[in-house]
Amino acid sequence: MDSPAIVTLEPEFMIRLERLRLSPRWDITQSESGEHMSRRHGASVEFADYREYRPGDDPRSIDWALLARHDRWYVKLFRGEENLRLELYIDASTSMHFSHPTKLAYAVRLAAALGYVALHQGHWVRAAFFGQRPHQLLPPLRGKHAVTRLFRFLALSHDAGPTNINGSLRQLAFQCRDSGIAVLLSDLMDPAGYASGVDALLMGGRRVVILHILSPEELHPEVIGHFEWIDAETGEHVDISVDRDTLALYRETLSHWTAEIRAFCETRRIPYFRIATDRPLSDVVFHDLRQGGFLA
Amino acid sequence: MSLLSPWWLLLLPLLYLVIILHTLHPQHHRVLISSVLLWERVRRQLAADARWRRLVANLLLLVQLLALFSLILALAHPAFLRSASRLRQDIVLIDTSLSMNATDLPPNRLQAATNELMKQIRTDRPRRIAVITAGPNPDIVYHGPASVATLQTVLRKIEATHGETDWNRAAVLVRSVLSSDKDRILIVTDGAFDSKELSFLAELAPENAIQSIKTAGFGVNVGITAFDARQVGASLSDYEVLITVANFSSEEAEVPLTLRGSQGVLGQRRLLIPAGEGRSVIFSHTFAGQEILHAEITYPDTLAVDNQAYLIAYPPTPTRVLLVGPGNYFLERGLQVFPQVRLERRLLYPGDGDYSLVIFNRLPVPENFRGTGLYLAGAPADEASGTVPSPEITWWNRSHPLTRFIDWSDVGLLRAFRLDRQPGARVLVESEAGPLLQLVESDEARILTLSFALEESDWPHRVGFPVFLSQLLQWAHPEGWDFVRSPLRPGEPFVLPPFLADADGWRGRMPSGATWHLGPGTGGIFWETNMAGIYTVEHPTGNFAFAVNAGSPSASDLRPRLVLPQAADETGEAQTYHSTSLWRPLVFWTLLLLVLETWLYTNKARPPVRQWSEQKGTE
Repeated sequence: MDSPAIVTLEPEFMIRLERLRLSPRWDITQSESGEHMSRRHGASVEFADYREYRPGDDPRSIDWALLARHDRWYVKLFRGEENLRLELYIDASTSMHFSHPTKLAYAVRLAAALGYVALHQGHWVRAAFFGQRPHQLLPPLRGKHAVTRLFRFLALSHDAGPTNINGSLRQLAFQCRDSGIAVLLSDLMDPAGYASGVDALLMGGRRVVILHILSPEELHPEVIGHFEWIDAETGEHVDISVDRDTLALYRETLSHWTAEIRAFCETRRIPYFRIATDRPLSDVVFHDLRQGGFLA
Repeated sequence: MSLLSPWWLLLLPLLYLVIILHTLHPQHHRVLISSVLLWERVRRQLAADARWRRLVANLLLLVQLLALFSLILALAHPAFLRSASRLRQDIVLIDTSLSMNATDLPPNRLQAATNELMKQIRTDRPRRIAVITAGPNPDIVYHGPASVATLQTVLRKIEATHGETDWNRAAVLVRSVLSSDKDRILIVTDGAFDSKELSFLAELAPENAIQSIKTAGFGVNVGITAFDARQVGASLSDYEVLITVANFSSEEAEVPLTLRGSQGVLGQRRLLIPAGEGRSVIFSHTFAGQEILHAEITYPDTLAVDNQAYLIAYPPTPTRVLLVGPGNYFLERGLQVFPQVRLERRLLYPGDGDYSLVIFNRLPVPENFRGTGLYLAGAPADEASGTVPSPEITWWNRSHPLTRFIDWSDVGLLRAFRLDRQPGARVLVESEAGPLLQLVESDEARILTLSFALEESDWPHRVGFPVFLSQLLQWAHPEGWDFVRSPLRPGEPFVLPPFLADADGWRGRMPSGATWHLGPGTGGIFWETNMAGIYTVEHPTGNFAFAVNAGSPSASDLRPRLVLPQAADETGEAQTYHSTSLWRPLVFWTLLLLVLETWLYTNKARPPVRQWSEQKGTE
């Protein structure tokens, strides 16, 4: 796949993204969110940046002087808020290179949107691609000017070979010990699973969000006949006659699998979003993620 | 079951096509996909349900094969064909006459014929069957469903008799069991009798419904066809014994003949008899007392029963006749002609005495009279009834032992007394004036009444008068008449003398040695004389015997003369069938199978519900 030099998002989409922010409600509702907020207010009096006022912002953070001079509503961003780090871990294994658009492309665009929201909000953003192991790592960025670097980095995605979610996430957790929000964008199709990797992220004090990217072919296969399925990563062959009943059994198997993942996430208070790549990105961002409380 | 359109079976190879279609694998696609993680789980699940799926697949194949086979079979138009014979009744007349004993077909003609009959019944399977033994005394031995086992039992018990078939009586029995014009009359016979004997069949059934199973062989027979004796000369004991031997073979036969009596061999002859002819031999013999004559020929033929015959003689006892009333010249002179008669005269009836015959001349018969009496009316029994002058005789019984052989038409009468018809009386001679000769019989008395005086008619001058007296004496006292009792034909009844009865009736032995018994209410008429030989009647005062001889010119002739269509001919002709078509139920069955096939196809991959227990993939 020829990767573009930079990931692009539609201007209208980006304008709409600027109105979003990582949901403090979602952050606060977690057990550690109160600490995070008090630490941000108590110790962080150092001014960092301005941002336009949006309904829901604390009125006490409004810069009344700017309002008086320019008649524009801005809120002050202080250092305490800069501590929030958004980590975007994107599965770039071979399995993510299927469908049209590929699951990876969809994940990249979704990560770009989330990164743009975070950078625009003044948070730190860190990104990494992984396959068998993490092979591309973007150092933490902050500020609107870092959007271009983030987008350039995301455009560097390529086939990373077989997947090893557990190993890759453990390495990433070890490399960066800061607490933050780790977003895992993956199809989770690793025979070895994903649990220990996610747990490693959690043990580092992160909050974890799983964006489960699946293609329409994986969600609703509509093929009939005798097939020899070949695993793109492992080369494993599965001979199977597919008829309507086999497809029903597949759907049942998929349902059980996602139920397993959802149950895993619920036990760890991890927000889980199953995302089909045939859905418009804006719907996912402005609807699913907002409704899930990840964005506000 | 038959197929009316069997060429549709050419589609049967389509069954192989179904099997081939089931064995074909669909086109194989190699597809690279992101991961087989889920498909592997599906494959494992399918493998766990493989037995169920294989069963369903096999069941599907089986149902499809069955449906296709049923459809092809329905197109072939299967039908149960039942021969028309299975809807009809067969009336089987089994000839049990003498000739059926012939051993030219082993073991004898009757057995061979019944064996052939069973083959026919097994083939035709009529709905019902009636089996009539056609012998001297025909009988219905079975009438019911045509059960092979039952019929075998019935036929096994049937034996050939030694007499000739009474076809007229058999016809009555056939008529009694006929149920419809579809019935078939099957005659099981050797055909050794004249076709005209069966003329009655034309009235009973259409010609094509009368068939025969003929089992005649080519046996030869030489038999004694006549054996009797007649009195000659003045002595009651001098007799001529007549024996006739007939040759029914196609070659001349030399036949040794032996006559034996109580004293041993009475005579021997060697007869040379041309084919198809007979020879009679007469022996003179004087009976000294009770004696059994036994005639026997020695010839290697296929029917042994008629190679011997018997004649039984008893010395006659005197006939005591009592004449009560004034003398009668004609009567007394007439009775004196018979040497065995002992005539006594009384003016009045004494009331007792062992008389064979009591003649009441112009005297009324006492009310308490017991025995045999002749009442000669000299005056009207009833004064008011009067007399009839010169009555003309209008009718007489030509078969009764008393009036047969007598021409009554020209008998002239001066007058006759008018007789009242008594209840139960039997009129033997009748005139314009009413009964002339009347018989009244009861258990204890037999009274014959003559309604005219002998001297007032010309009857005593006619030949018929001594004939009448002779028949009267024989009727009143048969034991005093003749030495020889003519032998009976098989099946002919024998009237047992009342004096041989005891409290329980009559009893005796058959020629086979088996005992027989007749109750008092049977009238002493013995019918079981189907077998030839000597029958004895046992009595405390001594045994009495009578003989039954088998041979006769018609019965001993074994050559088949009957012409009837053979029952087996039916199988060679176009038979009538009734068919029950099966294609409609088969089509219905096919539809049911197709519904089942559809249901199986739509539900075939629904294995039993399993709990999802695999938790792999989370680690």
